[in-house]
Amino acid sequence: MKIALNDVEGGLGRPNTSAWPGIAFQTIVTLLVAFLVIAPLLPLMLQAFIDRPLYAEAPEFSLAAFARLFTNAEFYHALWNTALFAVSTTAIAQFFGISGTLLLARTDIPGRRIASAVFFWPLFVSHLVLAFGWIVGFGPSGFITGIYTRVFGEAPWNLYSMAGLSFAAGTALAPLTYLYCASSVKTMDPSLESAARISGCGPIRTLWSVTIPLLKPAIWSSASLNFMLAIELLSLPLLLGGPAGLKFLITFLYEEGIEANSPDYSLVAACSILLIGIISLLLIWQARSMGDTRRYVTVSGKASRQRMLSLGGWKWPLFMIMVIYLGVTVVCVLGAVLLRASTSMISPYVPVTQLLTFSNFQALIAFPEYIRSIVNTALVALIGGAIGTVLIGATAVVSLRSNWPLRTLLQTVALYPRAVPGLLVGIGVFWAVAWIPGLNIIQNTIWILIFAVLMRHFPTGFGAVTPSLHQISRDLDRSARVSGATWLTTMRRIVAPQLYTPLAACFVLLVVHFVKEYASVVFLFGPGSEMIGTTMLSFWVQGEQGSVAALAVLQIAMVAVLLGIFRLIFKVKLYG
Amino acid sequence: MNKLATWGGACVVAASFCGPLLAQNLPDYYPDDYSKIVEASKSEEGVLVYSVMSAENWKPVLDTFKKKYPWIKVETLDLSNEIWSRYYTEKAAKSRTADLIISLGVGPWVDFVNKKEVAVYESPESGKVPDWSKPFPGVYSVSADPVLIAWNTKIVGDQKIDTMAKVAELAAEKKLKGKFTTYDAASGSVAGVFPWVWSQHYEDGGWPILEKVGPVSKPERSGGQMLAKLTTGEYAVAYLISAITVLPKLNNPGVKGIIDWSFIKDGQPLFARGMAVTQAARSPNSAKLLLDHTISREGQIGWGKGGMTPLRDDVTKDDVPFFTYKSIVQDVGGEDKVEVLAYDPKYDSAIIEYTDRWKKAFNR
Amino acid sequence: MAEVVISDLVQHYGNVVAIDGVSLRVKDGELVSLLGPSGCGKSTTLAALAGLERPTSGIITVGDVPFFDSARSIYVPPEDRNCGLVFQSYALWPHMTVFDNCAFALRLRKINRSEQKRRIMEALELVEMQAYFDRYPYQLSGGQQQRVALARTLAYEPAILLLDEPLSNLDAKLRERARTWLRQLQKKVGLTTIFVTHDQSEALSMSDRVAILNGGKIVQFDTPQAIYDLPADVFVADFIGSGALVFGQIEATANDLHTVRLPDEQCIAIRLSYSGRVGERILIAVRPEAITLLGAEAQSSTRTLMGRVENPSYLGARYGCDFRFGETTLRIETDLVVRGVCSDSVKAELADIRYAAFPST
Repeated sequence: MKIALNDVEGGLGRPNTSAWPGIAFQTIVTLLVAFLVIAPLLPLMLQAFIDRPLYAEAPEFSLAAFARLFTNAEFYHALWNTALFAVSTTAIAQFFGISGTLLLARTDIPGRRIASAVFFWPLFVSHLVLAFGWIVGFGPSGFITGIYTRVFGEAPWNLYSMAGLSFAAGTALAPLTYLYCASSVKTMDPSLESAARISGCGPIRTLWSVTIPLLKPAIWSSASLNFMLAIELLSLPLLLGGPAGLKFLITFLYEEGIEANSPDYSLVAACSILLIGIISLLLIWQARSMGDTRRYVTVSGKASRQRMLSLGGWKWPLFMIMVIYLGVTVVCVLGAVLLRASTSMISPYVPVTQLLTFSNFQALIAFPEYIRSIVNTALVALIGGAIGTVLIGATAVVSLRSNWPLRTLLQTVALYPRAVPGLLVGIGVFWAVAWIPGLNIIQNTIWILIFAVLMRHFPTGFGAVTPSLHQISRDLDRSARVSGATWLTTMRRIVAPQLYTPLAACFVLLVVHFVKEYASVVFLFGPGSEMIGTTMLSFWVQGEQGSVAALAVLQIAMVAVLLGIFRLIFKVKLYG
Repeated sequence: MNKLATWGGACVVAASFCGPLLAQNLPDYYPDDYSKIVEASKSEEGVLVYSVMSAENWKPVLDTFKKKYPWIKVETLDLSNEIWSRYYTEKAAKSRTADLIISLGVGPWVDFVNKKEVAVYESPESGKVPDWSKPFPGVYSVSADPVLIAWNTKIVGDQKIDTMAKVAELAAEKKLKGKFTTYDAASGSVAGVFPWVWSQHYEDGGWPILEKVGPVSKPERSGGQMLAKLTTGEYAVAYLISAITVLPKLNNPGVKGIIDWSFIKDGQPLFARGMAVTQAARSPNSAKLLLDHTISREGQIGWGKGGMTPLRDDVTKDDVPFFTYKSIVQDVGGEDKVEVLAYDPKYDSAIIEYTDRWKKAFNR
Repeated sequence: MAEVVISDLVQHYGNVVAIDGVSLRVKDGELVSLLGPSGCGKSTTLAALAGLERPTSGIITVGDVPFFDSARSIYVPPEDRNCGLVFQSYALWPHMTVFDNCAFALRLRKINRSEQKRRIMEALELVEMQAYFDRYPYQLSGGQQQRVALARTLAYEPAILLLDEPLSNLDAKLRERARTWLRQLQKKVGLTTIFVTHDQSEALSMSDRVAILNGGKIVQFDTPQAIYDLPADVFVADFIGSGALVFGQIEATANDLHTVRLPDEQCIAIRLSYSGRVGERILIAVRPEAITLLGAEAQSSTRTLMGRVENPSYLGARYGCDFRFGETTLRIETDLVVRGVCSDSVKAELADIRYAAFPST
């Protein structure tokens, strides 16, 4: 309805207040996100309940797949192993993550600046690279193992065991715990600890009785996050679990769905639904008990100046422990990758210096497939990151800053991919693209890869934007509306400009994840659409460890360079 | 007058040079209408091959193919068993899929043939390849790749382990416990076909030997893995390991002088890699040209250079860096000592039983 | 004519009733304040006027145009209402300069550049901020931001002006001056203005009329004088001004002159706004300025009270003390020198005015 109040005065026109552009925008965003998330899940859901592959003629409804699943002894082994692995990995990750937080963010341990930076390095590296690094460093024929054997005799550790696997996985996930807890610790009220110290508590006791209980929400949310991640890890169980004879749900799916002679699609789909269902329940439980804890980028709240706890006589022993921990889990692992990339072989029979070579790096540019995978990775990361950031920004404002009736549903849908392991995203996208009419033009192009990685990491980027969105006062929106702006104009001219920094952080986050990606694209690439992650996996399967290492070094370098550039351009510091 | 004669003569000379360049230098047993296929391929978009080899294996073959038919673009997608599900799904979605499939396996080929996905094509080279390499109409074999026994000489010493029986003997040694490796048939994929074919050679299925070596073995998913760990001493003996993964690397620093190998004299399995043009092919003519090339003499020599084992009789050991079917037969002492992969129509169910028993033997 | 008419406005939030049947008629050019304790519904009413909230039922009309009519399913979104709204937080857009902040609404209305400039500078001059046109909000003080927020709304000539606690974020000294300045500005511009506040001195000093809200209802809507002198009910009497509610029982009535017995058995005869029956218990609103301390020699009258003086303090021009009679204690000011005086029986006299009284429940 148009008002005719001021027509007689001074020639002030009326603004164009049509609500249709806003409604159209909200509808399009909802449809796009719904498609992005639901399209890959739909074939997966359907396949579990029919008796033959989706692409076959005249499928019939059947629950036989579930029967086959539940009578499959391997499934139960895998289930048990997965549960055991998830629990031990989470325990290890929490232990080291919390200890790291306390030591590095609350005490005066020397070298904490450098140590906290190094602590984060595993986050920038793909798990495939970490698994590879552990094998090349600490496997039965690894560098470190070789040195240890020469000096001390037989090495006491066995990487190819549940313990070894959990340790490698746990220390890879510890930085996430650190991320959650450190940001919580920094905004903690220091007077709480001071009160304990004044009453006579020593520094360790204070940390234990005061600081840790205050960290409970952060500890719990990081624990549940790590638990879910442990369930869906692919590379570590695949590379380390295989030789140990350990089967996990994810490797069970990988074998049944990808490697098997005639894949039992319905079984794969049934198991996938089960897995997704378990993780969904975990997510719901976490949301109920913890509220909004989806934070990735450290939000700069009011960080009060804190007095560091003095460690006294404990300082140097703890320092040594910290050095050993970071040395083993980060420096040795990544160093092993670098070393392997520069040698043609690891051999206990030939000294390393004789094996140094550039040939691994040369092999990378020798074949067009490998150059393509590097170029494709950059393209997928940058283009996918850009598209993702725009879509995420739009989804954030529609779901959190509008009166769109479907906004809560939209937010739930946007966050749902967290429940879907990367491998299943790939399988789902493959089936969706094959099955939904017209979509098959993106097959074997980088667009199908972008589809998969974007679906997989949508919640990650979304979680980077929403906290900042909450911090923008709604009065800004309201005053724009009252001044005559429609919802869409308000978002465009008022809210979006406040989001430049979080959107930049979202872009960087997406790019880093896309460069590291392998699990969700391993089923999708074709000639011309390979990515570094898939090429690494192919090299690994062929036993070309030198090429895997060279690619890994390249991937790490790409991430480091990108982060450096973004730091300069956007002034965004990822992970505090 | 003189000028005309000079020009005319020059043209004739030029034409006589061009002639061989333009005519495809085809052997005389090719049908006369073969040029139709060649012509038809010019309007196609190139060949998409789904195969299980590597870029290095393909290179010499594709180089010579490009010289023959420079307008044909060849793209290869080298995976493992996934290529079958890709093909079926893509075909059902009516997207572009493989024009030619080259893969190693029994079950998948039987299924493929039963589903009538083979575009039956009588290749002109068909008469030049052994009968056992043409298991089904339209299905040919690219190579007959052996598996070997390879060992780390620094651990095992000077002995030559040239039979599986010897491997079983060594399995009893305490210090070699856990240092044997082979393909992991329990990982439910192509790997199962390696011990399967070997077992076909024995009346008792070879179980007495498998049950001796199984408990001391750590199976791997790929030959590359096996070789890498064999070289570093993590393993001492790798048996039934694919020759393609071993032979090209023998001269690498770190491998040279450490690894030795042998054919399996008490039953040498040979793995014929199947090949066929597909029903869903969008470039069937280009695919036919490629198929013919791979089993032509030139193509087979190319495979040999790429590390595979050619199966044509007219390719000798001197033509290629490694071996040919014939030379292997000679080395192991006769055709009765080799076991070529056979396409058992009951494979799908038989392999399940086999794998179960294999898992028991290997404690998996 | 930008007259504002609100009829029977109701707003529910789930089970909570925020506005419970509010009716209001604001005349053109009038400055009306909505006053009340927190949770009384005043900000909700303002939001409903602006269109930022959609009420459950009722009618809102501005000028002759219905903004909201639940019976006819009319709801005009805020961007179509052409109201001006100044927020408590000022809500200046941080990424825009002062000039751009003011230009936003004009750009939406497709005013050309030079005309924009003219209007903006005019508005900024009105609030005396023209020198700051190229500054960013973070470079301005609270008071400056408030003025810019006001200029921003005036620039596009809204039909009515709404202010949500406009002065509460200013420090006390600034607030006094801002009140005067705002009032003068409003008179000059002549815009119908409604503003929300919880500060009664603000409401009383600035408004043409004040609407007092409690529990989602308007309990009194009148001029400041009327509200102060004749509060409509116990709540208003208590809320407005300082003072006390004194219990009493009516002994006799004669027109509006009532003889009341106080709890401490004293009897006074005063004029009341409420005609009670004999024997009825009532509450009388007594303002401190109605009490004058008398010297011991002063003559008593029917309006004389006896009480205690406690806690004297020296205020410079006068003295302050607590005057206690019965259970009532009032802090009053007096010219008598009460320092050092703590006496049980001090005489005080109630002024000869009409007192607001209410039945005591």
